[in-house]
Amino acid sequence: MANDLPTYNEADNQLIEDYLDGLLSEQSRKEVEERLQTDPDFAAQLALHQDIEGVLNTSEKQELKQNWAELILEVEEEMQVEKPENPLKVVSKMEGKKGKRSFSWLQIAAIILVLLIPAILYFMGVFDRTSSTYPQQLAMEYFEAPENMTIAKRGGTDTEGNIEELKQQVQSFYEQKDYRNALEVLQKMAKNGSAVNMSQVYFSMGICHFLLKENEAAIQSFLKVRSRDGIKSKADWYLALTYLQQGDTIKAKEILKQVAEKDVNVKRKKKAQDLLEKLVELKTI
Amino acid sequence: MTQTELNLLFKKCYKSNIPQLIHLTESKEAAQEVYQEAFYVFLKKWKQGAIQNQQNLCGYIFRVAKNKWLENKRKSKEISWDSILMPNETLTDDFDQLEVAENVLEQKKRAQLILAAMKELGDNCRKLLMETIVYKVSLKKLQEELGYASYNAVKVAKHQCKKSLIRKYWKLEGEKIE
Repeated sequence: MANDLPTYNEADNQLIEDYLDGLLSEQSRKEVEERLQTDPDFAAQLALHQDIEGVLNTSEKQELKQNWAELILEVEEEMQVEKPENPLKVVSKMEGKKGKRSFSWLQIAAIILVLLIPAILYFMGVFDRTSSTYPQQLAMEYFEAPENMTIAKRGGTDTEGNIEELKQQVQSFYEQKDYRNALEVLQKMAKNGSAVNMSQVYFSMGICHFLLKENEAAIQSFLKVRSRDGIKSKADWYLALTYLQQGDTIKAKEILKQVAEKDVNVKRKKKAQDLLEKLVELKTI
Repeated sequence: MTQTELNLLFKKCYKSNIPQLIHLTESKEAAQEVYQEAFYVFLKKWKQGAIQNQQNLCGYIFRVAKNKWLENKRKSKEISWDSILMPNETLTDDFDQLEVAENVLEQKKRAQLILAAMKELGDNCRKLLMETIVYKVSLKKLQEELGYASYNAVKVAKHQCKKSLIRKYWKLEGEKIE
């Protein structure tokens, strides 16, 4: 019954806390241990304190591991980029090139095409930096949609009891490019906040809103990603792109500067620096 | 150290430690697991103020990871001895299995209620409980960090927070039963 709560025994609970914190004298500690054998209520109270410690430890560890999983992905990506090419492969490539200096007609045609296409597009006005839609073009150029909507389960209560099912639905709608329905499912997940990693939910919402060109909603979603989460720096990058898509180059530059300075992901840092340079050039035209 | 600096350290040490840990554990997954365990230990020690003037933090984390791996290896051996000494029949009884499953379910419910109660606490209380219970930061250190007037003041605050947590837990448990 909600109104019929157990009585909180101040002295016993203080004693238990001191016992667990190792603050009791040898004599008092022995007394507590003797009492635990004979007083089941007292033993139940101690069990609750121990369970609190166990649950908080485990949930904190799980949360940290979720954030670290994100960092591991990033660092693995960086290690792939930094990994020097296998020396044996390099030698064999060089050997292969020795006897084959001339280009085939097909290669020459491909080079001409690669050089010609940007020029044609430029004359058609597609890459016109003076155009008012240039920031939006840049946003689309730099935007890379994440492959998956990653949402980790947390230790909290799954009140609806269907988090796993909802996760699959989000991924399936996202793969079908049905961002509207993906958003609806994500909103359902957000209502059951303690059972999922909310930063990942907000991040996924931001991506869907971005793809639907709902810039204001995307901004609000990315801003909700918590700063202690590993996904935060990724969210900042997409936040900058959203501001760009919205045409707000001032705010985009502000966020990009932070990404370019502080982001621990080398690849993203580099992209932010490139984009910043293009935006600075834009100002001077 | 800020959160960003901690993330940087995590990545930097991951890069330098993971090849050796893969060599040691002979599996990338096991290496990643043991590295995270070691970083958790480092995080706790750092919060407690037990790591000061440590020149080579990545080296420290590697040593912890190596010890963790040895400990896990030893434990897994102990478990196998356990299973040898305890015949399988002890758990094949339907009633025993049911009882174990019920206990697990009960523990799971309890964990959910504790986390829900924790969520209802204010930010300061949550921080105080997490720092003392999970990270074992001393009350003396917290008194300085959180600006309490005295050791006794922080001790009382911690006790009040725990009391509030227990009461909220009871209330939620009562609502569930109802």
